Amino acid sequence: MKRIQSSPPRRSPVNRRLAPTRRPLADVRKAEVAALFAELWEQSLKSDGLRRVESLRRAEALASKAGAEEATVAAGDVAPCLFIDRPVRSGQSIRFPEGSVTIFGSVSSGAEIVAGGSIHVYGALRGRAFAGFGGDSGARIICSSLDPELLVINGLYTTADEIAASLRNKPAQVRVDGQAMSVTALD
Amino acid sequence: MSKVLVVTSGKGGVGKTTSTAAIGAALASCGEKVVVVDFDVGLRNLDLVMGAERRVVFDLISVVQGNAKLAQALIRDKRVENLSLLAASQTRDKDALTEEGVARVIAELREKFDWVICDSPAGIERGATLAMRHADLAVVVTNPEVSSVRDSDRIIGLLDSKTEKAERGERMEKHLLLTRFDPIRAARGDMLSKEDVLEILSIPLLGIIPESQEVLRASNMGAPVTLNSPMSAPARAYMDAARRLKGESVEIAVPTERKTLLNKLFGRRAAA
Repeated sequence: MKRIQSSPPRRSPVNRRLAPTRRPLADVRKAEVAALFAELWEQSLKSDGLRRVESLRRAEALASKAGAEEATVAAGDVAPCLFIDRPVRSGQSIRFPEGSVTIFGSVSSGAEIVAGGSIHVYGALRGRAFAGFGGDSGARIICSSLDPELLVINGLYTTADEIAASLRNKPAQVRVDGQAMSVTALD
Repeated sequence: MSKVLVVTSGKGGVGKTTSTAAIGAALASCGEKVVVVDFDVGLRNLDLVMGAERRVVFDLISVVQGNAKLAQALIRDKRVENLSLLAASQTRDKDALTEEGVARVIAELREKFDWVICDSPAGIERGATLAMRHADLAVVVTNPEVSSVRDSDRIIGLLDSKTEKAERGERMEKHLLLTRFDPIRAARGDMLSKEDVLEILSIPLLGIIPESQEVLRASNMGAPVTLNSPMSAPARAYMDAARRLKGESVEIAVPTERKTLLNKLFGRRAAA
């Protein structure tokens, strides 16, 4: 973690080889991801760019109460950030097209996070993460342990199979580098 | 202060009914007043495991629909006097359960018993959501394998959102019961380890029940394993879990067969 403050994250040689993840994928899979993305878009746009599932609604309700310990929406003149102070379980979906999402806990396999900005997971990322949803290619996905089902940043995607084994289950950062997804270790 | 406990898992066949019976009997033999309620309407099993299948006249549905009084439907256990059973109906389905009816029955049971233990059906549909709806705490039964762990994770998500307690903004107390655990296979890596499961589910561990022939034997005998062979490894594990539920602090260990005094005396080989 210290390293990222002073110098850009080191890229492993394995990853450099892997970096052009944009290698042609089967059209079917491409179409699937496109459809998934379109569906997410639609759902978010339908309700004024905001549709949140129960977990988030509950989180907000809690945040509005006195305690506000489980989840808080921090909004200022900058882009808002949603904090979730518990694990995101299989089947749950956190959607926050307005800004970034930070999760203190793990994201289970079968769960999904959709964020307009970046996604930070202080725990294991085992589910699906959609960052930069809505057109932000500068968004990143950062987690303490990388083992995702699907990583998407502004429509570019990569699956667990395409991530080098050396990067898995370790702290990592994912971002868009030109036209490709780049996955780098954090330490 | 009575407590409503739901035994749930998402996945079927992991040991919800066995665990409900075993923990219910264990708590009752500690002197607590316990009722075990079968929510698996249409696929009732708890009466068989409790050995009361010949004594079911009225059931949960009759009480929910107001066709029978609660006292008529409760079946007293013949072995432990503090233990009662409220069976499910085999001829109806989950749609026969109404939200208001279940709420009323649970409220009535709370007045009569210290522990109301609800045996949830598998799945995440009506039966399962109604079984967890009024719970104060949950025991999540999980086998050390990936599909069971993922389903448990899903159920924990529902416990945190679809229960009355969650809707009031309170935190649902959840405990993990790891069943059918084989320490030897886990050590070999053929099975998820305790640490793997806890890492994924991140809820406190209530107990580890070792895989054992005794469990099946007890079910076939129509008795909770904690009554049928109280000195067996799974029975002692369930007994420890029950004591932890009561708030006692008992160190978590996986009991093995070889520790029993009788085995030592007769020099029998322990079951692996």
